[in-house]
Amino acid sequence: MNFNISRGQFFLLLFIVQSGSSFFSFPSPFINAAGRDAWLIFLVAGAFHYVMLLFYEQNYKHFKIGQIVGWLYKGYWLFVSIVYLAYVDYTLAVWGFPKTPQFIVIAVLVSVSLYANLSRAETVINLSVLLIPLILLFLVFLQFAWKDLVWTNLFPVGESTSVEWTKGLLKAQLAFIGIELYLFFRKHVDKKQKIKGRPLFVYQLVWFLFFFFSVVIILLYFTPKGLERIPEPLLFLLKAQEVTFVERLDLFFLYIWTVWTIVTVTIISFAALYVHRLHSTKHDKRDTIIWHILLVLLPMLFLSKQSMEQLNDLIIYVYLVFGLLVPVTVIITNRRKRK
Amino acid sequence: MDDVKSNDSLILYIQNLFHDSADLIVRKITWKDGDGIICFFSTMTESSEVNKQIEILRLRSIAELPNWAGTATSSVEAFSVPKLVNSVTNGFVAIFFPATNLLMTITIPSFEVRSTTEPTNEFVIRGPHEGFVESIDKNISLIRKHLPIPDLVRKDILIGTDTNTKVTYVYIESIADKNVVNEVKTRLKNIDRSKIYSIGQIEDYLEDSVWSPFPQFLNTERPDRAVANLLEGKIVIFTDQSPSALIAPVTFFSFYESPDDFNGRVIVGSFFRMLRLFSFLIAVFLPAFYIAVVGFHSEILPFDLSRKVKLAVEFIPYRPIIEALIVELFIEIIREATIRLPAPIGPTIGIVGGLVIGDAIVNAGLVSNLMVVVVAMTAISSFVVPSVEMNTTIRIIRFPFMLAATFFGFFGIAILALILFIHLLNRSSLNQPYLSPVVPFDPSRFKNIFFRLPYYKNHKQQQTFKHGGGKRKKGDRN
Repeated sequence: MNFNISRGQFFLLLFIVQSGSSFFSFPSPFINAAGRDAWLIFLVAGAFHYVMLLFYEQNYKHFKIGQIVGWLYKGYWLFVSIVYLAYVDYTLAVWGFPKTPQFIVIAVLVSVSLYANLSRAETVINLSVLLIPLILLFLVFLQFAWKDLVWTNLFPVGESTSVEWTKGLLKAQLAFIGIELYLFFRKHVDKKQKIKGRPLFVYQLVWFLFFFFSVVIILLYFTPKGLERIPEPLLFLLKAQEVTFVERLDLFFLYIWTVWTIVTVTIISFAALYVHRLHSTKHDKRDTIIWHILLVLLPMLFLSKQSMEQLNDLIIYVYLVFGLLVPVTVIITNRRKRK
Repeated sequence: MDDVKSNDSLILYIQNLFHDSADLIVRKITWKDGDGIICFFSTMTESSEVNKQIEILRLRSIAELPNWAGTATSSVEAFSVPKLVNSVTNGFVAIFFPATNLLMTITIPSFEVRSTTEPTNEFVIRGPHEGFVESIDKNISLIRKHLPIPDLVRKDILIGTDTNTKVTYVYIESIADKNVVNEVKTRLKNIDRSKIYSIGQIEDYLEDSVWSPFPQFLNTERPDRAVANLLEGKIVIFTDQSPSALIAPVTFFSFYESPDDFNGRVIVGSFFRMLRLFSFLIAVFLPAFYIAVVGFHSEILPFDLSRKVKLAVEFIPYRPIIEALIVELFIEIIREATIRLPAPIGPTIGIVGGLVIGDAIVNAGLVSNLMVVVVAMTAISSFVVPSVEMNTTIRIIRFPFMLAATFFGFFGIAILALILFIHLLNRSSLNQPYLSPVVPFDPSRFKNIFFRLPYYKNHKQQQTFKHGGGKRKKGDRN
């Protein structure tokens, strides 16, 4: 697959995949695990994220995968897509469509990805552009909560135990999922555009501030006890906002988040099919359709609340294997071979 | 021609060739080197000029001037029957000299062409009030009047074996992309159809995706609009007997630019441009939004407003989609009727249809008053776009949104909006991205979507879907 992308397109694609589904689901388990020091822990996690980006940038040229690793990644992305789809479908069933058969909602969600992935590569790459105004809108509406924020909630600091720190750092990895796409698409970035140094730092800053902002605003708005009972605190926070022109802001953002997740699943599917085409050039269309049939069928197995929670716990460990362990192994192996 | 033994039989042969048409003139004329046969349609030629031109050419022939037949209005070439037919049917005077087997053609056309009045569907407040007419030559002259430059190139091609329709494309050599020009040429040459009589047929053949509801060619009857686009490196295509010109490659946002933007004040132009884009959102999403709110999400409205909506729809006997379809259909019927009705009756029917029947339909409890407000606002918004094609597209695409809202509420609207966006990302006009400069993103041109900047400089469009594919001229700013 031959395509050339700009630095901006690359970072936008990465940001959307990293924030895609997790930005609503990430704060609650993270803060519950990390406790009152969650914002401090996220500072450390952010630094680790930057180290990973620097490592990836340094070594992306050595990340060349064979057919077996390719299949492992396809399996990983299938798993991530299933988790995201099951989660969004479950949330929609709770908030919007309690009576609609869930396979219909999933089929509708997946049909968008299918359409995009049957189009040219540039279509999927540029799809994220649609979300830019919506993300800005989301951030603007979160500001309405400022008058209800209790600034003293951030303090005292240093009360979290070492177990909470470990658990917190582990849960923070939810916000990292998707970073592995860096290794796959970095080589397609315009050679004339610099990534190393300031541009990479700016991306890190944007990613960090986005998640840090959501963590801090939730810490300031909710008490730790109250947070334990709320699975999507950001949606709840938006629901509580009173604006003159609309009664339920959260409903708008529920659907914005749905679109966000669909775009994320579309990009992840694109990545999986991209890896697939590295080793198999035949039957492009057929394979794309088969992939999307799997995306409709497999989430049906995980639509209960219990399954959702299990998958959300499991995804972190699966990510650690494919975002960290496999890339490091592949890079080290290839570097040794080269020597 | 071997069987033609004399001039008389030759005259008979030509008469038979044109089925002895009543307006065909075929006569024998005397020339220096033997007789000739003159042939032309009296209805397509300025008859009073024919004798004068022939006399001039005869004198040149007697004076034995070198290339005596080659003047500003005449030329000579080897005779062939197809050439004779082509010349005569296109309004030339043809003179065949059997002795030398030469065919002389003289240009003395006399076609009825209406005067250049302002196009009725593209009014502007300020700016030129002239429009294209049903003659390529007159249309090109209007463009050349605006652009007296040697770089303005005109190319002609005849399409349709039965109709011999002349298609002309015009571009500015130094600005237009050569690949795009070649693409137009190739696509025109590939049109394999015997009957071509309208510019709509040409458009079908030239478009990248004929099944898309979105137009990929800008239709205009305004010379100033055509000129502005030529200066942006685009190509303008005419067919004979059509007052419309096709402009390509264009983007989605080209349809929202009006000559008025550049004739008015900067701030006013920018404001109206943004208003037009906002009207697109209203025209496409408002009825769907209303249906979603009434059918699924009435809780999003503030309490007072929610109560009014519920009161309004309480006694309506069917679902909002049926209500919307009734009113939408009603508006479309009124619109279609006002186009066909004689001019003096049209506005009256509009008032009767819109006000009287609209009021009666609400009082009868067939639709709610809120739905009438929504549909009326939608209809007005769809007419804001300064392009008839985009206007019809908008009117059509709001129906799928209404259906999606009926089945899934906001979720349906969000999904369909995403599909629409992907559809637009996939579209191209002469292989160039339709959503440029948003996608691929070009910050230097992005602002032009919303703002009419203080001065206007020509710019070129993004040429490929790939990053970095767009070429710009040095010094271009907008």
